Amino acid sequence: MTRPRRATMALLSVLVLVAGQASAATPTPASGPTWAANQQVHYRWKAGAVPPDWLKPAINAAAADSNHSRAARAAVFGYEAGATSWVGYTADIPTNYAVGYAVRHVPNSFTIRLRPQGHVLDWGKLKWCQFYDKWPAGCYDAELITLHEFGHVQTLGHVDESLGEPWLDSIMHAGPRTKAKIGWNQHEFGRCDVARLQIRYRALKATTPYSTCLALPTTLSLSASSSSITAGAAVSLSATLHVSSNANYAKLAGEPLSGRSVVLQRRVPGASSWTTHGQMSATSIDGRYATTVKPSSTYDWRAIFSKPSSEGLKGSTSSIVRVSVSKCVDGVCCSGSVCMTDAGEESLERSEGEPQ
Amino acid sequence: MGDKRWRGLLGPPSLVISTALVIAAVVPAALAAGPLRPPPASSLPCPSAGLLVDGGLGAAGGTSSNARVTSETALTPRGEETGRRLAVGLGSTELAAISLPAESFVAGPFGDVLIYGWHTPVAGSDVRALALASGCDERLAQPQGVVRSAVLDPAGRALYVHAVAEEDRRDLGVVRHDLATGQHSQVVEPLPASERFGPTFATSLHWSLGGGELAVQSCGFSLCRTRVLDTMSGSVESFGTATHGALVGLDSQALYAFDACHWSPCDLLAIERGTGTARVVAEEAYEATLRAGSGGSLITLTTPAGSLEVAP
Repeated sequence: MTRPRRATMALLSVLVLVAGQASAATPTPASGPTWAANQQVHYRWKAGAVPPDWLKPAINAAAADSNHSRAARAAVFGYEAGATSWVGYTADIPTNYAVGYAVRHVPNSFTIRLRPQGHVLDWGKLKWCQFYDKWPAGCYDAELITLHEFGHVQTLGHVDESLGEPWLDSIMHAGPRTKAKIGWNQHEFGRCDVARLQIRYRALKATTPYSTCLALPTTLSLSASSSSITAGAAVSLSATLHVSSNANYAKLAGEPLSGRSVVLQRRVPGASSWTTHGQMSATSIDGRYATTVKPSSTYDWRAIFSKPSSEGLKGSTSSIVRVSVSKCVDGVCCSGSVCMTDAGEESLERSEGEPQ
Repeated sequence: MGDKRWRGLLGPPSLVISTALVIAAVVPAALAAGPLRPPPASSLPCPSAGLLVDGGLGAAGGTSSNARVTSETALTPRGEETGRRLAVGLGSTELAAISLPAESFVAGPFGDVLIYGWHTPVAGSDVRALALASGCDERLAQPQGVVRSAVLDPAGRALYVHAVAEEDRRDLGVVRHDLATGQHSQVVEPLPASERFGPTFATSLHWSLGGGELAVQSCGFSLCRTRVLDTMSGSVESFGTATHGALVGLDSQALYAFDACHWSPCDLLAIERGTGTARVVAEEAYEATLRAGSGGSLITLTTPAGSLEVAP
């Protein structure tokens, strides 16, 4: 192969790879009924199978990892003595191969079992990293495995490994990795785990970024407090941004989007190019943005939400709103090319060159 | 003369010294690695005729004994698993109490017999039968490699043993041990390594409802591969294409297994024999058991809605 051809092939390979990564993201599968929004679900240690002291912090850390990285109104986990749900350190697991096992009884309780350190499997001895002062290669990070089990409690399943998606997109792999392979100690849900949690539970807040594993269409609308004003008068422009009602995911359709960058643009009626007026300000109402302007001339206005690189939303543009501005001199008010007297009679046409 | 005889048995002096040095080097390491001797047992010796009756251990259909069997994991104060304690009792009498090393298994009961086994680096592998009615205990086989599990056939005449290699723990397949003759033969080949399934965490052996087929299920962290041995013909059918998890059972029509979940509730699948295609028998089941009904197989399910029985 010639050098230029090799270079072209290499470039094509990179493009295919990049395109593949951008389009191949699939939210982690999930099934079963969901917990109530932000439901507090506490757990205790299972009587007779209390995890050893070296393991408890990892379990509690995994619960905290789930809470802070869920980015959705999924269940919130925390330790509480006397709770119904439990976490146990036991070989009494429904399958002989699992090193961790979750049972969920949504919306009431769950259980998580972790197999003891040193249990001998076909491939060798199970090693939990936290058992050791110096974590050996090949050990399982108990915090990751417990977070994985909390993922199952949240109703997540396993990713389809045949899709070949980037490993760090999820912690819900059919075979989590051991130290020191990439992703062996991930301590938060991957972006495609978060995507599914958002699909099933809605985003945590209107300001919560949507996972880049999603590509949700958005709808942006714009309205003016008045469509016709006199020059120098204030008009309030109000935009509403939300996930489109035709989004594929029922719980996300119509969800308001706050804290985003919504830009207001204007143009002279009939012109083809737009000028950015500025960024619209967030209001106290979810998904609502507002700007007050005092135009001296008639303009078409529109709001723009550009596709953000940091979250899984598509861009959108509002429909155009025209605010006509009339200028009154000696009882004659001109708006655009038409002038009227105070009495409402058409008076004269504006001469060319007069500012609109 | 006597010297020559020992020399003949042991070899030249240099070899004897080398062997002694090797043993001196290996034994402390093995001691550190785990128990060397067969586990301490308080079980009873069997009658001189042994447990075998007419070449077998008796029908494995049901347990006539009211024996109480417990198998508890033994942990160090720091929570490291060191083995298990197997106990068999009858009423207030303890018939057997056996401490097993970490590399051990307990299977059954098969009729009135419990099968258990272990491996230690020096003593090797041992598979034994423990009579539940009497507490007597007898060796059945000393398999090659590291024994991982074993089951008796329904007639109680053969032992099927799964093992892994001592040096690298690769799968060694399943070997049939004839209890009457002591002869053994490979019946299921070693499982090839697979990137898709990852390292095998555990292998389990299940008899079909009819008792003529043995399912050998090897599972990774989540995904399982199942091979079914027809014990009469010796043919092996493999099921690895359809994603599945823990096996519930099998009949002549299908394998019944949970989806590849290490959580529950989870979908229960039927994987058709012959085609290997999977279909969902029940969604979101906690537990499932397969049994023979008058009109065919029946599966009893525990689901979030309660228990139900379905004809798969």
